[in-house]
Amino acid sequence: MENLEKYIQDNLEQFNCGEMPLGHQERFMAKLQAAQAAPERKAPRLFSRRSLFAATAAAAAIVIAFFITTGSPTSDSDDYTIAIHEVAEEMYIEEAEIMMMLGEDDQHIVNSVKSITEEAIPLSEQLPEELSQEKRAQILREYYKAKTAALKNFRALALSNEIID
Amino acid sequence: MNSTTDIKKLYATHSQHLYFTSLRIVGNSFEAEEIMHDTLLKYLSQAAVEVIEKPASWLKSVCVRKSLDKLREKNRTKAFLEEYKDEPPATPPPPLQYSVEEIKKALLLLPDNYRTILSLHLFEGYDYQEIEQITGTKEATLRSLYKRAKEKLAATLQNR
Repeated sequence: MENLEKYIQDNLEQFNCGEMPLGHQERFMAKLQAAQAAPERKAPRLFSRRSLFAATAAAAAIVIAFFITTGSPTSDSDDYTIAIHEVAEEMYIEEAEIMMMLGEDDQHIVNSVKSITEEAIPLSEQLPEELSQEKRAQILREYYKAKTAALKNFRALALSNEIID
Repeated sequence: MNSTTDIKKLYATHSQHLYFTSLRIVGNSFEAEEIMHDTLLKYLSQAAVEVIEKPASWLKSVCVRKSLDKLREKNRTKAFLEEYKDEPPATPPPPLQYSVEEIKKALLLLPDNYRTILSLHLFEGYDYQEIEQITGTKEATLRSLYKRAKEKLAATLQNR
């Protein structure tokens, strides 16, 4: 009996190794993508608390969700991937900064910001493949830059009108 | 934790340990994978808002609790002590020759209560006080249960 116990203790690492179910990592990545979409649907309820903690968490979640979705471009990434990452990152960070400054009218701000940033179908998925990658990258840059500019204008307006604390 | 690469690295580092930890408790591969995934997703969510200083400990703790919750969901925990009370003391088996794989298989054949106490105490290294806090089962009972679980595991290996 004690030998059995000792044998297990001496070989603990081996008990945590072995064959895992096929496709386990792919299923995890799919769940991860689903999870990153969920916070957006729950955003209004979360933001309405108006607490600093919630605002910080929401802002962090937006940025993290973005990075989870896109990852960081590597040296192997093509211009198209880099274009999506660069311009979308700027937009998401701008969005996160606005969320960080949630005030009394948080729901109003959330709705306004989401009306600018939300995409039922991301533009990157709508662009026809017939277009060259260069052309698609150019369209995406212009598209997200326009959204980022709109967010910046919204923030400036909100601050001037004391919508945001 | 801000890139797919980092997340894949986290997954590669911890998924296997979490999977087998959960498997030893729930005894079902599908459920163990679900729990392993949920644990890692919870970690990613939590790590986005606070610094987790000991990720491995945090992950193990959450994984164990989720695994025990799964057992409770299936109303297995209710039978935990009843099963134990009704079972006659096992006869100590003779010395055995065994391998890791044989023990893994034998563990999956044990009743939930035995598999759980062996997982928590022998494999995960929780002491009886910690297990009492996690499961709500008294320390003295846990000690007896552990002894019987070892005997049952040895008997299962003997009869394989």
